[in-house]
Formats: sequence, structure tokens, C-alpha cells
Amino acid sequence: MELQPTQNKQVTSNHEKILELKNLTIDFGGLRAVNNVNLTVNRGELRGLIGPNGAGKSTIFKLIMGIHSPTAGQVILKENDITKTSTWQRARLGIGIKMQIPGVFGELTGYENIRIAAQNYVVPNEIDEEINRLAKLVGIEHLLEHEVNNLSHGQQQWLEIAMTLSSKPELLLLDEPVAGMGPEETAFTAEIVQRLNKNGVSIIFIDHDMEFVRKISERVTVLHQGATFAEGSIAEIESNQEVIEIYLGSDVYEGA
Amino acid sequence: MLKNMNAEKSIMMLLCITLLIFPLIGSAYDVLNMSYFLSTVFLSISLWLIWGLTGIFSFGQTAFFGVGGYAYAMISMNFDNPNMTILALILAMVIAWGLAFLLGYFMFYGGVNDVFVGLITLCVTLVMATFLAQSAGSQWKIGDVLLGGDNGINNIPPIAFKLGSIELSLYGNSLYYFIIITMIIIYLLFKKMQIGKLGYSFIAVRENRERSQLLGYNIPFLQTLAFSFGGMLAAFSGVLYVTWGGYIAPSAMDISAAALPVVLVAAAGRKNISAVMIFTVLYYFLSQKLSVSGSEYALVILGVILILVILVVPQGIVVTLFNFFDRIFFKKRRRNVNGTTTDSKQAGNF
Amino acid sequence: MKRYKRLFINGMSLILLSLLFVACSDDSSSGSNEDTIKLGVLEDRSGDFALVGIQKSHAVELAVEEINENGGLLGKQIEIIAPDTQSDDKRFQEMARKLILEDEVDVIMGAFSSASREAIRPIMEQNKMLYFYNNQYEGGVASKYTFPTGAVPEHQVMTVMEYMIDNYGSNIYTIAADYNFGQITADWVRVAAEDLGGEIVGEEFIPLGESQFNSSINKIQKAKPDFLVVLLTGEKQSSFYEQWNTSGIKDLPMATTINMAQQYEHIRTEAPALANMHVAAPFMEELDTPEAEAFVEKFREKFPDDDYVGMEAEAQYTGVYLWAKAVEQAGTTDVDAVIEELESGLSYDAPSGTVSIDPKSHHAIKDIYLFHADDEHNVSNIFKWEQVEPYWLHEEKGIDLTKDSPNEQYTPID
Repeated sequence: MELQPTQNKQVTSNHEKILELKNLTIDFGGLRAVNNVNLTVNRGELRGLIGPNGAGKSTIFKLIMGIHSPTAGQVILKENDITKTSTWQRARLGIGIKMQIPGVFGELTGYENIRIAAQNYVVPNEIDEEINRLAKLVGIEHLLEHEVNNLSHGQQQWLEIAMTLSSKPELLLLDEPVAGMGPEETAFTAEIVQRLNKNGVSIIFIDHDMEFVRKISERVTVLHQGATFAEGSIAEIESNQEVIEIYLGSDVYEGA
Repeated sequence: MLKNMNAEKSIMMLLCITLLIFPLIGSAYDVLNMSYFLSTVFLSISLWLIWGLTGIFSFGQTAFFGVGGYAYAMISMNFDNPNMTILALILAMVIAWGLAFLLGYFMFYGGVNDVFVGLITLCVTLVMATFLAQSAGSQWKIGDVLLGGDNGINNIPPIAFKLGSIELSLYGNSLYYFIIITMIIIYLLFKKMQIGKLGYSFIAVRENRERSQLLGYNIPFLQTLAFSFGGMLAAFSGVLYVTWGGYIAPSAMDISAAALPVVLVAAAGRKNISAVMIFTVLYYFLSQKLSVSGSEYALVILGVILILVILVVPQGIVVTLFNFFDRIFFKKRRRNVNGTTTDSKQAGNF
Repeated sequence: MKRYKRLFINGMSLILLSLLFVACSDDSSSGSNEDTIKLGVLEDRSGDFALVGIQKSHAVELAVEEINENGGLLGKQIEIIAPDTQSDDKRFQEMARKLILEDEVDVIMGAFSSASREAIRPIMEQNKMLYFYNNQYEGGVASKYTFPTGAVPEHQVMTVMEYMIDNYGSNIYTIAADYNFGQITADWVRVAAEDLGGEIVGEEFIPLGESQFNSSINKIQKAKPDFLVVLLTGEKQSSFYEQWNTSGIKDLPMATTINMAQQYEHIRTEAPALANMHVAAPFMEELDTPEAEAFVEKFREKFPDDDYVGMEAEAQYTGVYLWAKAVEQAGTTDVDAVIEELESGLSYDAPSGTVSIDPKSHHAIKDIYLFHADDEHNVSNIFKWEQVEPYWLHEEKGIDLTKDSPNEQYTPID
């Protein structure tokens, strides 16, 4: 399928930081869910964020988006401190997110879903064109007139990715993009993600499907009990004894 | 427009034509009566905007209805010049818009949502009604006009216009056409808005606030915007009511008055503006017929009907009827939430 | 299967709706019928005010039946057109318009609450429709087309206050409903107290719909009044009496203008909640004059299931007869001619005694009785004031409706 480039890769981009988390901490009552996390993602990276359940991965995404306010620390996007910026403005600054829970509008059609996602970023006389383009990108252009509740789980996930892309984000956060998908759907999703990355979108994703992680990520950060535990290439991480240990006893580890 | 014809469009066009020629076929009393029914439609439309489109569950529309009526009375009755009634109409709507904006601002920017908005707005309505009910003394007045307490204010002048020797007062046919024309304009405006950026922004708020926020929507701002214009529209309904009847009292804001628009809009099919308009007129027409028949069970009958409708057709009875007629006459399968229909069958599983 | 279910539901809805249309097709006649005189009635037969509304509707039916049986009015039968106003002010507006414009009635009688009266009074005036408001109220309406024949504060407050101060002492505590009627009547109580050498030692206004009186009862006890004036209305506020029974001052004399005679609290509440209650009213079912007893007997015969025959039923009955008498005298139902007769000092021997219309104010001159309830809620009339006049509008406001009509309601709170 055809892919238009969504944006040009920056020539000097490899060492420019797109996202930086500095000493990021959040307490919920007595529980420290994220503990002094320092994380840097460079422009153009495809970074995996893994770790056992409850490690704080989704919470970090929420902190990046501003759904939660940190107890301490900073969130820095493209060298700008956005720790105090409101969520909707962060979205407009170029962060797209697909959360764990389904974020599609079930009672609307696919067309309406993408329309809502795209209309803040696209002029009215180009919007129909853009909706079709995005739908094609994720392979659901024939399903635009259907009520989204009637689409399969996989189709809904792809729709949501299309929605997330409609703002032409520079940074894309994907929380469990292949959860509940079969092998074919997983492969297709991997393809989409990689193509996006090649076209310049920096991506951070969370997933438990190790095959998927292995397939697409360049670099992986491991989170454990709210803190960064390890970081490196997937090969390095998988042979790290300590990492293996923190996963044992957790039945979410899907190995080879 | 004709290529996308469906039950809703054809019914609304038919009704529009019928209503435009109604004064030619009905008596003077019928026209006056229909004006009354139609004036209540704006209140339902305001709730459609707030709740049906934007998902804000509010019991407060009657409060703004009252603000409209009382503000209009206060302003128009403090001056002898009939042209002041036009200023009164405009100011009443502006005041209602402002108050709704304020209330909305404090609620939505304060993070209040869902059922709590319903509670707060209901409280506001009842407090307003109670306050006005005890304002019987002569110290309760604005300018020269007494608030009147529970007895309310009567002899409120209708909207009028006087220039030199031309004098026009909205009564009978002139009032009727004023209402019809404004209703058509507002209907078409909202229909257009619904499929544009603002309409879809409101829908996003209704469908999923958190998700929409993540897509770049400023949720509290959109909510306050919808709420303020909803208040303004409700006030317009109030002004039309006092132009028709010359009277406003706190009873217009008691608990049954507050609950009625919500029930009507829910029973009609709250997401569809045409459904809401049609059902409102039908209900007022029916309930008046029951009242005339003198049956002591009129209120009970109406209550039972409303309960049955909401239980049996929770999507709304008029919307269900639109779908029904779509399938039979227009061979459409699915109604989009936003009002357009499609020919495609529903997708199976992957 | 799902489609059939949907079709079924839709079909049922359509059937339900059409049944409804059929069921409530009104059989009220419209247009002119030269053989009958049309009497429009606007009373609440459902909703908050139904207790009195039904009585008043029945009173009209009784009066009209009697007149019709005696040869009718001007040789024609009277036809009643009575939609149910459902205790709803908007309904009053709609139905008033309907009676005037569609049914083209010759006179309209009705309304219980002052709000509903004020909602329709301008409609009557605009359309020059003769309107009888046969109901107790706070007084002050000065309108050419309106005849408020019910009891007003001149009838009920000045009288009972005179009796209570003479017999029980001068320290008075008032507890009143917080709206027009309660506030204005309380003002009259104040005026009466000043005139008669009494002193208001306490006054409290209770919001409509309030049903908790603990703190109010405490306040009353602290103030130690010689008697208590109770001006509470509505279902919720009537729970005051039960609570007073439990924790109030035993046997403290009470006075009212509104309870007992209108909504028969002495029957609906258990004794001795209203023990030692006094009300000055033109009529109660327990009035023991021969005319009153005859009326009650006729009423109960026609309406055996009715709970009570109260003062507003009698006022409405009398109102119909006053109008009928004026029509006979005028020889026509033409509104201006009938008004002229009504303003000629017309009177009628009502169940409550002789009732005359005061030409200048259009209000009624009535005999007033003092009713008293004992420990067991037995009611007897213990005092009488003859032909009490509604003097306030012409004495205080200089109103003379035979000359000139301001079409307003005046209040003494100035």
C-alpha cells in the first residue's frame, strides 16, 4: 500500500532530543508509582518501554500527556518544559497517544472518528482527502461508513492509530498497540509502526509481546517498580540476567 | 441535498411547509395556540445542543428560560417606548448567555461533570424559583417593576416596533411568523453547524472527554461554549413565552417544569434535533388535549407514556420512527449519529 | 428475529399513539350554539390544588343543574365547559385563551392560587371577558372585568384579630407561608394588631414546601404569645399541626384565615392538633344556619363521595348565582350590561347569608362567622359579624371601578 511521507526526517536529528524526562516522580497517596525516572528519547527513535505489570509504564505515558501531574520532576518536549502545560495543548504541540483502553468513538462511523481526530489540524476543504489517506495508511478505507462498534478489535486498533496520526505528531506514544491481536494483525501493525518511524516519527511504545518488541524496536528501556531498571538494545536486555529475574514469577512474559 | 433524502429530511420539509401555511388553514385561536407550542421548542433545542450534542446533562434550562422571561419583563416594563422591547429581547438573551457562561465556567473549569452538573443545575433552578417566590413585597423591584413573588409579573408587553407611524406588535399572525422564521433559521444553522468543525468538536466532548482531550480538544472551553449558548437559546424561549402570554411566575421554574424538557428530549431521541422538535410539539399538543377532556388522569397518562417510551425505545421514539421509515421507504440501513444515513450493510467480524 | 422485535416495538408505539389520539378527542363544543349559555370553568382537578379545585368544580355543577332545572337562564340552558387546569399556570393561560377564542363562553369562573389568577386576569381584560374569581385571596385586585367574590383580609383578618385580642390577650406570634398570600396577610395581621392594641412578639415566614417545624416551634415557645396566628398553605406545610401537637404549647389559642375552612385540616389531621383553632370565614360545612345546612345537604346528595364542602365551594356556588341574577336583570349575557347590573348593588341570599357586590371594588359584602375547633376537632360557630365590607380598595387606594379601572393588584406593603 502507498505511504506518503508524513514529514521529512531532520538531517541533524539523530542527536536532538525529542523527549526528556528528568527526575520524574509521582505519588498516589502512599504509593510511589513512578520513582525518579530519567529518560531521554532522541528524534527518530523507535523506543520500547517494557517491564512487569505495575511497573509504571502506562503512568509514565500519562505523565507525558499531562493526565497526571508529577509530584516532582520535569517533562521536556523538544527542549521545552511542558510540565505545566495542559493536556490538550500538549496534543497540539505534536504528541499523539494511543492508550491501553480503546480510544475510538464506538457509536460513530470510522469517517467521523478520523474527522474528529483530524479537524484541528487540517483545513476543511482538505479534510475528506486526508481522512481517506489516513484510512488507507492503516488499511481500513473500505470500512469508513461503518459504525465502529461493529469493527473487529484489530480494525478498531488500526483506526485508533490512524486517528492518532491525524495530528501529524512528531512523537507518538503507543500503549500496547498489538494487545489482543493475532499473528497476522500483529505483523501488519509492526509494518505500520516501522514505516511511520522511517518517515520521521519518533515512537515510544509499551508492549508485552516480546516478539513484537524484538521485531521493531532499536532500543528498549526496562521499568521496574516505577524506576528505570535497564536500557539497551533488545539483544542486550534479553540476555541481562537481572532483567530475566524481575520477569520470572510474572506470567506476562511471552518469550520466544 | 435531495440526493441524500431520508425520512427525517422529508418529514421536516413537510412540517415546514405545513407550518408556513398554517395561518391560512387554522383559526386565530389555533395560530395563537401553535405559537405557544412552538415557543417551547426552543427550550428543547437548547437542551439538544447541551445534552444531545455535547453530552452535558443539565436540569438548568428552565432557569435560563426564567432569566429570559424575567429580564425581558424588567427591561421592557421600565420604559414606555415600545422599541425598548427589542432591546429587552436582546439584553435578556445576552444576560442569560453571560450567566450561563459564568455558571459553566465555574463548573467545567472546576472539573465538574456528568451527574453533578445535573445536580448543580437543578439546585440553581430551584433556588431561583424559591427566591423569586418569596419576593412579594414592594421592596423587591428593579426600576419600577415589582418582582411579584409567587404571583409573578403580568401585563408584560409583547415585542413591538414603532417607527414614526409604523407600529408592529407581535401578536397573532405576526408573532407566529416571527417564531416560525427564527425557528427555521436556527434549525438550518444548527444543522450546518452539526456537520462542521464546531459540531464535531461538541460531539467529541460528548463521546469521550478524556480521549478528545488527548486529540487536542480544550474540553472545558467547549463545554462552557455549548452551555452558554444553550442558556441563551433557553432565554429566547422564555421571551417568546412572555410575548405570547404576557406573564411569568416562579412556577415556570418549579421541579416539574425543570424536569420536563429533559424527559421530552430523552424520550424523543436526544441526539437528533428534528426528533426533539417534533416530539416537543406533539407532547404539548397531546397534553393540552388531555387537559381539555377534563380527565383527572391526564397527568398520569402522560407520565405512563413517557416512562413506556423511555423503557421500550431508549434510543428515542422519534429517532426510532425515523429509522423505521428509512428502512421501509428509503432502503437505508444505518443512521449515523450525526444524522446522515448510509446504504452499506453492517460489517461482519474480521 | 431482531428485525421483527424492532418492527413490533415500532408498531406498538404507533398503536399507542393513535389510541391516545382517539381516547382524548375532546367533546367540548366549539362555535356558537344559540340555544345555550356557555359558562367556562377553570379549576384544578389534578395536581397540587385538586383538593379545592374538585370542590369548586362540583359547586358549579350543582348550581348550574339547579338553574337549568328551574327553566334555565333567560330561557336557555347553561352549558359548562371545564377543562382541567392541572394546577399549572401555563395551562391556565392556554385554557383561558381556548375558552374565550374557541369556545366563546359568556363568562369564566375559576382559579384557586393567586398566581394562576394573575396569569389569566390580563387575558380576561384584553378580551373583555367577564371573570369571577370566587376564592379567598390576599386582596387588592382592581379590575373592571374581574369580580373577586371570595373572602379577603377585611373579612377574615380584622374580624378574627378583634376576637382573639379581646379574649386572649395582646401578644401575637405569626407563622406564615413565605409568598404573596402569607406575606400580605401577615401584614394585615400587623395592621390589625396596631389598630386593636396588640403586639407582634414574633413573626416567621416559612418557604413553600417546607415540612420541618422543630426550630419554628421552639421559637414560638420562647416568645410566649397569647395566641398564634397560622397562615401556612399546602400539603407540606400542613404537617406543622402534627408537630405542634407533639411539641407545641398545649391548648394555646390559634387563629387562621386559611386552614380548616378551605382544606379541612381538622378532618384530615388527627385531634387534638387543631384544638382551640379559630377561623373567621363566610362558610364552613359545619355552619348551623338553615340555609347553610340545606346547601350542604344538596351538595352531599349530588356528590356523596366528596370529603368536605368547604368555603370556596360555597363561594363558587354563590358566584354562579350572583352572575345568573345579574344576567336575568340585564336580560342579556352581554358583558358590559351584566357588569352594570353587578355594579348596581346586587345581592343574593347565599348559603352563607346575604352576599352583595360592592360596586366600587367588585368585591363582596358578606356575613362572617367565627368558627372554633375543640379538642376533638368539633367545629362550631361562636360569633358573627354582619355584612362585613371590603373597604380597603376604596378607602386606602381611592378605587371606584364604576368610574375608572386601573387593572392592577394593590398590596398594603407600602
